[in-house]
Amino acid sequence: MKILVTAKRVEDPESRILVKPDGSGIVTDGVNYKLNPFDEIAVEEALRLKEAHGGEVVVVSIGSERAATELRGALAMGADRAVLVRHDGPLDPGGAAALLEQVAAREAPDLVLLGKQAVDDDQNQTGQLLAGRLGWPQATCASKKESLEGEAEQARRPGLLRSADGARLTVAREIDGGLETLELALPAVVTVDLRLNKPRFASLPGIMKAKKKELKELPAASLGVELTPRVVVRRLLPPPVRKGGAKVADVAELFEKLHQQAKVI
Amino acid sequence: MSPLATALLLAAGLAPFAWNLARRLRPLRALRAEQRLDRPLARLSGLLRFGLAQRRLFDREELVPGLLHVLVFGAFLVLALRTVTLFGLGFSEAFALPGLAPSSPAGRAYLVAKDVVVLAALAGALGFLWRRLVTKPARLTLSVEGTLVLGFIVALMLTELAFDGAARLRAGEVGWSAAAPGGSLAALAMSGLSLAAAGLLGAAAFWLHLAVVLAFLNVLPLGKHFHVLTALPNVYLRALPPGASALRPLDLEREDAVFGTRSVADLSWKEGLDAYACTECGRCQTHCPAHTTGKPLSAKEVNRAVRAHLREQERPLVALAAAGGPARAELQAALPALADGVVQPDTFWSCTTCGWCETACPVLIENVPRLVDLRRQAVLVDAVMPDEAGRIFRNLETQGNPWGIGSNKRTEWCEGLDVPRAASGEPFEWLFFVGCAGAFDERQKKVSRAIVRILREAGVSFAILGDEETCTGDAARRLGNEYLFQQQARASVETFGRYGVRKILVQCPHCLNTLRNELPAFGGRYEVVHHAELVDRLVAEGRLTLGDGLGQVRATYHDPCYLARHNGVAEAPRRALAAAGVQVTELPRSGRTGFCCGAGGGRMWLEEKLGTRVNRSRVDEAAAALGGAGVIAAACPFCITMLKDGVAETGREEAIHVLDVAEIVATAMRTRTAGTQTPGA
Amino acid sequence: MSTVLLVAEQAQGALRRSTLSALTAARELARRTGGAVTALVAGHGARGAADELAAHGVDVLLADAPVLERYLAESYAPVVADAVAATGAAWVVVAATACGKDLLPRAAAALGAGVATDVLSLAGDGPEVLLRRPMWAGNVLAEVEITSAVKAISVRPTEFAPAVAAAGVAPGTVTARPVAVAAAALRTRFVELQVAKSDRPDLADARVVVAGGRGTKGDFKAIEALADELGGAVGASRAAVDAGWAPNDWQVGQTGKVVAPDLYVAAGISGAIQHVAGMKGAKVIVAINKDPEAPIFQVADYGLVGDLFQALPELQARIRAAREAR
Repeated sequence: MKILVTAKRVEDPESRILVKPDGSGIVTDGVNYKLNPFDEIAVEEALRLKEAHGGEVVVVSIGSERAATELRGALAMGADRAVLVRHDGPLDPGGAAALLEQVAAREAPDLVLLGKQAVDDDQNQTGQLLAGRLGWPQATCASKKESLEGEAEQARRPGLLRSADGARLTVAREIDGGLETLELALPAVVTVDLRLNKPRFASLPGIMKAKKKELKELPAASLGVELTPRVVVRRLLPPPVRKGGAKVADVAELFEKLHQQAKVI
Repeated sequence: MSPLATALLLAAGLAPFAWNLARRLRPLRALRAEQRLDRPLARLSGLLRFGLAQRRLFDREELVPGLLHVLVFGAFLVLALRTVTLFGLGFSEAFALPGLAPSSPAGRAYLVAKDVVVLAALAGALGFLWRRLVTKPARLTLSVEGTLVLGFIVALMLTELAFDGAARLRAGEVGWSAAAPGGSLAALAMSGLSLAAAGLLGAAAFWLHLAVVLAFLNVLPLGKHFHVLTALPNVYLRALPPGASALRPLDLEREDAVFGTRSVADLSWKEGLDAYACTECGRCQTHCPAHTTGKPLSAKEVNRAVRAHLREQERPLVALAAAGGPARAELQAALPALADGVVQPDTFWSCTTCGWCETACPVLIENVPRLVDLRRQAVLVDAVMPDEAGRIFRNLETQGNPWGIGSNKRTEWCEGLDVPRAASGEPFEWLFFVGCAGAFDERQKKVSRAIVRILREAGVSFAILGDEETCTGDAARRLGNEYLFQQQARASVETFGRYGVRKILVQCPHCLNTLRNELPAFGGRYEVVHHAELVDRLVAEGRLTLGDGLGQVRATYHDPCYLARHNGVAEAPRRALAAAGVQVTELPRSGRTGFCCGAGGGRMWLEEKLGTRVNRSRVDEAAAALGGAGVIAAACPFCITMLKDGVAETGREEAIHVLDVAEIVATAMRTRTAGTQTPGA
Repeated sequence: MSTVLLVAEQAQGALRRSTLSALTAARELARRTGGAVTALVAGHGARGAADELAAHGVDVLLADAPVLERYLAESYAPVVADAVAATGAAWVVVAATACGKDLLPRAAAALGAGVATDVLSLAGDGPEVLLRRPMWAGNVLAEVEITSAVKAISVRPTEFAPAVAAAGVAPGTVTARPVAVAAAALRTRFVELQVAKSDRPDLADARVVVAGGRGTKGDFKAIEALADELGGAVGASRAAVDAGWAPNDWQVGQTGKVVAPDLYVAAGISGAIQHVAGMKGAKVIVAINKDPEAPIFQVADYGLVGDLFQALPELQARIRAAREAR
């Protein structure tokens, strides 16, 4: 089973994210970067599928040469090789999906795995756009029925279930109010949610080996894709601050306020 | 006496002994190499203090067994000479050790001493037998072997006395003699016998004695009483300071690097010897925070398991010692993993690295590093660890602090305080290394601010690194992630170097320990001082005058392990508190023998799922000492967190408050002029 | 005149409440761009939902066919694309629900449309209308413009009040649309739906949410008891979910559920921005935390510094006493 999995380099939202005074972007000085946590789960799932069924895991990122750090991280976890689509400047999810479509056309994977969203621009659309472009079946927000504290997780079993003939994949996905199970004919696109698995920690031998694995750079321009964003960020603003800060002395006062003033209980 | 019989007896006894001794020692040659022959003077002085003077056995809590052991040990030393003499007598009746001829004054004195010792040893051994067979204290491992060895000792003493008594009877010396207290008593006891019977009895006692000596000798290498032979070498070969306070750096660059301990072959030969030297006295577990709260960790059990495993793996290890090249790697890989049945993961993850066991062990066994080495294997190679540990590592990797809070939020604690930055270019004397807790933990931020007030009051020149500060890596290292630790350590050394830092002030004993004891291996040497030490100095220099820190509130002081035990800083915090007018009611377990809060060794960041909670146990102890209400003073962010949680979990929030020494001192600065205030205000 | 196509969401012929919020957003968009709203209801046996929507005065396209019985992105996306072609719509609007988020980008791929997700509010008029959406876990608000001919947006239902049908408004028309999707060609198959079993209301719909965080130390009993007393849902912070103390579907925050109840009680939650981003739409926020400096107090209407294990049962007792007195 050949799996293409995304690994986006993102600002860690735990860093203080400040908007530049002119609203043209965020202050990146002093901000730390990491592998998008949803992509990390996607990489983990890809590795488990490979461990269960054999095959190859190719990890792909789009961005500056610095994204190599995150790709090396995914290689250290156990991915076989990496592709870095080199692109500087603005890129919207449509552009990202178009580039990934080209990479998928070259790699011909059985499955493309992506995080359900990246925690920098919080779009939640690249996977769906890619599935639409490829005309492949899709399942977003993949999760699983078993507990993350359970035995299956201990044994690092995949949450995505491949049929015996290798032609289909069963996916449980988080929807409002429950879990929906879909069966997709492969090749397909799946985006993953938090509860699918607990990603492994790269071992030191894994980190050492990752340094020698193939990381191929591919200029975005070489993929023949129109990258002018269709969604243009005009301005960034700090979020509105909710007015709060009033304190009550005790539960009695809290109850009175909620009952008499706010009238919510 | 018969030279032939003696020679045959010796040969029959020594040959199997030598064989068994070799069998036990040869596997050690396959274990990891380690230099333990450096600094002979320091080693000799340790041998005198801990070996010959039995320093660790004179322990308040264990005085009676300690004294009993000293008696037996002393007897063994004295009687070793007697044993040689007796074997000599087997060859020639005129045999005497040089200088100890029975007619000489030294010889006479020795014989008196020998007799006293024989009687003392008899009493000691009978005392031990009483403990094993009658009172049975909990920390002992009761075994047939222990009882057998005590039986040997009793037999040796009795045969020695009978031999002496018979000789006296035959020489017509029947009455009591102060020159031979043992022999004359024995002669008195045997006075009813005919001369012939006495002669026969004496001869029988002589041969029996020699036989028992040899039998005893042969038993030693077989079980835990190998202790008798290995304890003194083990003391000589001990880890010299800072010992377990500075863990062994791994060379992570080498192709064939070994990352921690997978199999027994990854233990060092000294760690193998440690297992032999352990006689399972159990002092290591008396105040072990893990053991006493029901976690599956006991250092003596680890020793026992390793000893048994060394025996089990004797053949493969001997083969490994002889092998080279690829065969070696293959043999090594074929050895079973220690984590797979010998030392359970729950065991090595339970350790708080507080160091109690190493402080308590009379033969200086090194318990902590080998547990960390097992964590290293689990984390670095197997990547199998508690989920929380993985999360901490990710947080440290990304943001340089265990919480994973943005590194660019590191100075939020001092917003508006105008604290000088190293990067400003202004010269400064002390680098105030705030630490992750001091910068990010809401509770500890107050301590950071109190320290700034103290420094300003005393006119101390200082600066902070601000966003450039990163975790020392203590927790990462003790949780087994040496790779991450080394990244952090190198980053710190680089940053300190950039600003020419020489003197570092810390508020966290874990930062202190790593910066003081572990950075030198990475080229960073600094004077590192805890704020309690600095306050103590400032008061002594007259730069800080204090009023009353707590008023009439009763207070006790909890020693952080990494301050008192690992770094010997126990008096300075007490003097600082005294200067702030605080009279410390000491806890039963304090100073070097303090009891851990449960957070050391990275345990701060792991869930405590097994047994009862360590922090509650400590809070109960403090509450008892305080008579139910008062202040627990501490000097470590982790201790404060754990104790505060313990106070809350036991419903004592109204009665007991946990304060840092710095907060009490800062209050005392204000009350110097303003009169008494409430604690922590 | 540009048409705004609202893609409705229905279940068994009943309109989802979130669609009414999306209708409000669609109408605002139509007002700003000088257009009108047309709705698409897709499904099987969905006539009821179409009529419900038409009652708001909206013209409705009804794509009703057995192949649309179950929502699948693969079968619904062509229906949306077909409706856009039929209406010449310049805008496609959905509610940012699990379904809306799944469907919209796939349909947009077929339309060559740019997509803005999780839109909180609109600004500006004309075709260059700006869409405000959160980024970096709510740390930043971005104003984006879509430059493609067809523009697709999903709107956060908690940010737009549900439309209310005005009395006497003339109902819109309902026009059937043929469905060209062939069931045999589908490569996605619905297997089953496992409904989260709970007597409590859905987090997203609940009027009251009581949520716990790190401060619970894993003990959610007091949280659940108060939630049940108030007929509310239980929520949790990311920290509590990560620690395994609360199931994942309780998570409130930027990467979990976004909620906007009348009353939100945050107990033992420090108030990381990630969490606040998911609950700041609540009408009244109560924070109970031992740490007076916890950031949650900055967004709370009523903050109580104290132990949640004492405060919650006491509050619960007072609420019960007041109700029994009534």
